[in-house]
Amino acid sequence: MLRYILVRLLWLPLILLVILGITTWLMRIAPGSPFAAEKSIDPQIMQQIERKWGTNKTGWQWFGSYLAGIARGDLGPSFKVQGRTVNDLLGSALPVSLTLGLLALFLALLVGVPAGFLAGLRQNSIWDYGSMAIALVGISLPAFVIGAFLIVWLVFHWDVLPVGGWGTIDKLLMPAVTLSAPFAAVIARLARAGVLEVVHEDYIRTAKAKGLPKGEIVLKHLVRGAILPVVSYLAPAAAAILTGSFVVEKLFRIPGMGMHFVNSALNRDYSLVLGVVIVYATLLVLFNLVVDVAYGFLDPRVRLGK
Amino acid sequence: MTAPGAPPEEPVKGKSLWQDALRRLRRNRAAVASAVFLALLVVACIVVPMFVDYQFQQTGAKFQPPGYSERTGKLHLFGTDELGRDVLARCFYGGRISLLIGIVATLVAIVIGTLYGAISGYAGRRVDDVMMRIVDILYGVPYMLIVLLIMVAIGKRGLVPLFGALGLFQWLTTARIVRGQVLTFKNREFVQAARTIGAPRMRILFRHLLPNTMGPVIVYSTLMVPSVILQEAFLSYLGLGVQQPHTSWGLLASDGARAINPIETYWWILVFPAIFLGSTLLALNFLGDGLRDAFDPKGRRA
Repeated sequence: MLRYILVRLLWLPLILLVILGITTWLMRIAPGSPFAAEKSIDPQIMQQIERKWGTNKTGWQWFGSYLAGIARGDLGPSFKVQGRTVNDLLGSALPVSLTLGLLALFLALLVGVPAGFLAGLRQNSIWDYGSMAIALVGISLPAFVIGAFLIVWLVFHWDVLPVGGWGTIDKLLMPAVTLSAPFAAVIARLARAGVLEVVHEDYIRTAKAKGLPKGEIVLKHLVRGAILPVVSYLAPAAAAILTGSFVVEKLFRIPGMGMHFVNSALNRDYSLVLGVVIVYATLLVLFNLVVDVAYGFLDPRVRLGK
Repeated sequence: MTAPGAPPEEPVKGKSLWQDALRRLRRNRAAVASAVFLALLVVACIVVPMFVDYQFQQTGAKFQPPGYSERTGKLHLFGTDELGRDVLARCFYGGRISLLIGIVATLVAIVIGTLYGAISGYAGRRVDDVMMRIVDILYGVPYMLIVLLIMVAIGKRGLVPLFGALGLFQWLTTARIVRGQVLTFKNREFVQAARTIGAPRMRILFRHLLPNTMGPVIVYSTLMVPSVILQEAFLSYLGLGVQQPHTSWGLLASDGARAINPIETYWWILVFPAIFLGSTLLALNFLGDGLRDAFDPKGRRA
């Protein structure tokens, strides 16, 4: 197990290198420059600026010095946000996005798992059809439409919640619900499928034959097997929640990573783009690893590492 | 499916499997209704823009609510938007683009994924190892970030780059599915028989193995179309999807979402595109679920 985790961690730098390479290349071929301005800039001053930020170097040279910076834990200064380093900017934005994302993931599980189990255990009942119909609506509408409806009703009509921003719990509620909706829907569908898969397994029949009470069968035997599809979905869900929060952060004006990423990509703020990409890719790889290890614990048939 | 070189059992068995699936699909009312709805919608999106009185770019009186507009003296069933363009005309025109993006990007992903997965599974050993490790690495990439950066890098160059960027990472799961299918079939008797009579490798792969992998691929691609349409909506909301003068349901809905304000609700520019987008994705999801149940033998017990 330990060996498996170590090998997986050794993959991390390679994945990061690939992603950073692609990102640098894409930013280089993108039209426009971080220093393009309304007024024309004196060529001498432009040269000065380019030397300061290192954009006069070739792509490879720039990439090399950037990697050297990362090795020191320094993501460099932001190209566009005056006087702030990327470390500094991400340090204030990452907790915001993480709070939002984790809360959304938690809400999605809190709603999706019980709904899916209920639907699966009472297959073809009104509960089944009802929750699955709601779930299908949840995966069929983009987050910004759900969020916009929430704003119109909860803010403009009933005036019970603030419209956006960050800092207090009531401001957090609407964005977290908006972000979690599609994931709650997918989780409910997966949990239902998991239950239906497991219900017909031999070990459940054995438990029934032994005369175990129904509640105990569900809690001890069924849940463990039926939750597996949900667990393996958690890694892609985490990835999608990270990027899904771009839209939600924009809609609710939340100062998180997503806002920085979209703005920096549009402004050609190379160092900030790369910083966000590094953080996201690292989070993703680590989260994938945690999920795979958890999967091994839950399903005795899975043996990690050969 | 009727390969001349194939042993006689194979085409017959394959045909009955497909007929069986089709029969089960036809009994699923939600799936049939969805298929009919989608067919009507596709026709409507092609035909309606040809016949409505308004061009989708034609401007007029701004923010007219649905119905007869006294200001313009014209009938706008879905109202008009912030530039006075007819929302109905734009919804049907946007449907063309949204459906086109969903279908083309899915086709790109299916072709790449099928070829990649088939080669990987059929070649086996080292080739398979390397090819699947590459897929594993790409799975670890936060791909929407890369798609966003691609859209920034290529700039506003029309629809074709958008198809490519959206299809670029979608093929990974298809490749895994096809590889798994090829691995289960490649040592079966009908493949051995084909090999014994000297069929070339490419022929075995394309004529005997690939047709057998298509069931799960069709199911998966039906579910891929709605997710691509949603991703285009996501990009459009961030201003990186379909660009003016073109439009899509995603762009229309995000215009609607942006126009909400506390003073006056222009609900029609959000609600109508959202209904088009939502009902289409709902129907595609229903159809995909129905296809999955029809192709999955386990589904028979339900």
